Amino acid sequence: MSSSPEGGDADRVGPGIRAARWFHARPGTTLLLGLTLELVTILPFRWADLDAWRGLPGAVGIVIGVLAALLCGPAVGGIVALFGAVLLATLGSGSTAVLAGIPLVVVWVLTAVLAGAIASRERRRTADAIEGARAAAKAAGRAQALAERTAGRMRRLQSVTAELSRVAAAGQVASVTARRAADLVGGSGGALYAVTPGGDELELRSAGARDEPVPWAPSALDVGANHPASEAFRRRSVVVRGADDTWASAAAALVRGARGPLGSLLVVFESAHTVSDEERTLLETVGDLAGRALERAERYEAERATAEILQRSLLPSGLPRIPRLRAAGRYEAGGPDVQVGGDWYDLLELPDGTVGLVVGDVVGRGVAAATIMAKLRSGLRAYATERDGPGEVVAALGRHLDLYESGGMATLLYLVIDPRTGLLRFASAGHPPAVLRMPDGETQLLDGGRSTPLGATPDPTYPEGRARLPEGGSLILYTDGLVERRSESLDAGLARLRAAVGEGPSNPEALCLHLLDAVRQRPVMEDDVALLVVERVPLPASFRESVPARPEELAGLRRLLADWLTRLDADDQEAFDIVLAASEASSNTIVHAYGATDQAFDVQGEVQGRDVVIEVVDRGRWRPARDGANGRGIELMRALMDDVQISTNERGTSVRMRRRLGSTP
Amino acid sequence: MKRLGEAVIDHPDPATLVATLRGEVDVTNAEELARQIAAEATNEVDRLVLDFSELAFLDSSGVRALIGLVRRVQTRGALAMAVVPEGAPIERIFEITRMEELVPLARSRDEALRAP
Repeated sequence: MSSSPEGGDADRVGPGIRAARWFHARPGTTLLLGLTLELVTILPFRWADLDAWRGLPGAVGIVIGVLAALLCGPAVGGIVALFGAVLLATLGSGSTAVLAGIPLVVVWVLTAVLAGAIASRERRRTADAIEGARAAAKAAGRAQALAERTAGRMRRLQSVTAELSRVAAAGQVASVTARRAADLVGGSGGALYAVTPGGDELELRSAGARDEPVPWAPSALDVGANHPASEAFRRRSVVVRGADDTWASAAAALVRGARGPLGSLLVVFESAHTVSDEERTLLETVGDLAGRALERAERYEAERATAEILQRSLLPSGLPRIPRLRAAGRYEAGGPDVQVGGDWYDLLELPDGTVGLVVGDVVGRGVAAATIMAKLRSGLRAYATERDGPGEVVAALGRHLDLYESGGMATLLYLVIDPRTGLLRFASAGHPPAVLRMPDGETQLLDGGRSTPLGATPDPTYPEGRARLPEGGSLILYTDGLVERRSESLDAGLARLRAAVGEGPSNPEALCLHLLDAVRQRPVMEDDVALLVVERVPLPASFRESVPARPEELAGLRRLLADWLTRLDADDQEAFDIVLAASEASSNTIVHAYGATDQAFDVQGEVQGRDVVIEVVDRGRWRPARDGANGRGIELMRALMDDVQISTNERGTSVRMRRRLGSTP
Repeated sequence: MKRLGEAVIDHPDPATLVATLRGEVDVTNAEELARQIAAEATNEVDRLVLDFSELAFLDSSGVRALIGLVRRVQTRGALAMAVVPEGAPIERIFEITRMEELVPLARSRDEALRAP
């Protein structure tokens, strides 16, 4: 009993059911018992000819066969019935065999048919179940893969949107679109075409991963061409193509901006690919995204160009040459996708012989910042000549900004230097301090004279700092782009700048390049840089030569004079002209003043403001002849110099000539 | 002793004389240099090219001597040209003395040789 599979229920069912279960669980025993019962029932009729009972063995056989079939299935029942039929046919008389054998055969046939039917139904059921399970698994897998792919594509689509929103230049929009569109639908390459202004051609803007030509994307396409990119543009829809020379499959979509079609987007596949409805939708979406991004990039670039032109036009195209000062300025725009800022520098010659130096940085970027910068620049130029001292000039400029550009804010450093004494007066409106470099290379920061940025507080006062720039020393004024890095403090940036200034060359042009080189080594140029470097050069001693009155002395005189003029920063033409004028005057003296006598004459040169004054003095007497031998020489002197005075008295003749430096066109 | 200035003579063809002036030309050497060039400018020469592109200095006596030379050559029907590179300081002298009205200016030796 305990072996019965339903053991737990066995006590609650009746003995008949228990017996049936017992036989059901033992088909072999049931079969043997059935066969034995049939033998026991049928064999006695062989010897006792009981004709009156001849139906009995057949009936017993039928009952046993049906029972066996019910208990242990049609196979066991069939065997029992067939055995009974065989027994009756071999042992019984003719009538017995017929009466009992036929029903047994019928039972056997019925049970066999029943068994077959049951078996085939079972098989079918099992097969159906397996098939069903298989189909269910397959469907589940497909659904999951689809869900994953869709989710993946949505994620990637979102990342395309994000990436496009980060790039500002049209070229970057094109390359991002071409690359990401191909990724999104599993293509091997992508390309972006933009329609030309004439509207009859599509121009390749980006193709492939690198900027190399690819065979499947010609650099220009006729709008009417039989190319999927052209067709997508013409039909304003997604176009799918089968194998061609350069691709196995291709798909193209319209690039649509808010103002209309801008071009098309092409994706090619290396192996045959059926473009699904979902992929069509994806390509359409990327085309729309790219269109908006291209329009935004164009607007951005137009504004950037305007701002840059505005700003460049306000920076000095060349700095004036000022005696005792050598100056160089640079403006360096930030990276390609950074809007220009409102950085500027300027150098002004003031009426009292001092020189104003300014660097400023307007908060904000683009046209707005450049406009404020323009106003500050002209405002400062006006106040610099009418206010006394940098503190007052900067305060006036702050009120000016508050009045006309409320909301605008700027930092600024204004410094006035007297080239003769080297005295510096300066005021800083929240601007990083200037660096002072001593002739020995030591550096210090001009920390004084600091106050808040312009526009930060309503009516600030600006204290004035003072310092002195020795001869051979330099001043470095700059905007924060030169020192600031996002990853480090301003102090660290200033320390680095001081080190770079200390080890740099003393020539201002060279020092500018040296400092900007250090900035350019950074991976990203984060901000604009305005830089102004001024060196206070020692004034060459005034020129004084006593020259023997012989023609062969002229060449040496010219050489000495040219050298002196070069140290005054005269340019080539100025030096040539002044040397020629002095040589002509000396020639006249040699030829006309003394005749053959071996006397000497004096040549003197000095700087008066921006003028060079040359005087040739002899102790003889000669007069300028209008048409004579010296006529052409005097004509030359008058043409070469701004002013020529010739005076003769009893002690001799003097030719005094003046020429302004820095006025060569 | 190093010479102050010199004239280097070249005949690209028998009818052409190119005189390249070097160094400095002033009252000490102007007449002498003009004489040297004139001696080379024989009757066969129908084109005289004075090349000033290597000249560092020229004063009014040099201008006077060279104008004399050019006039003599032009009198017998030959062509005289001066080579003055763009932006050379010496060009001012040609403007001031109006020498450019007397002698056509070319920017390079080739241009002077090609000129009709």
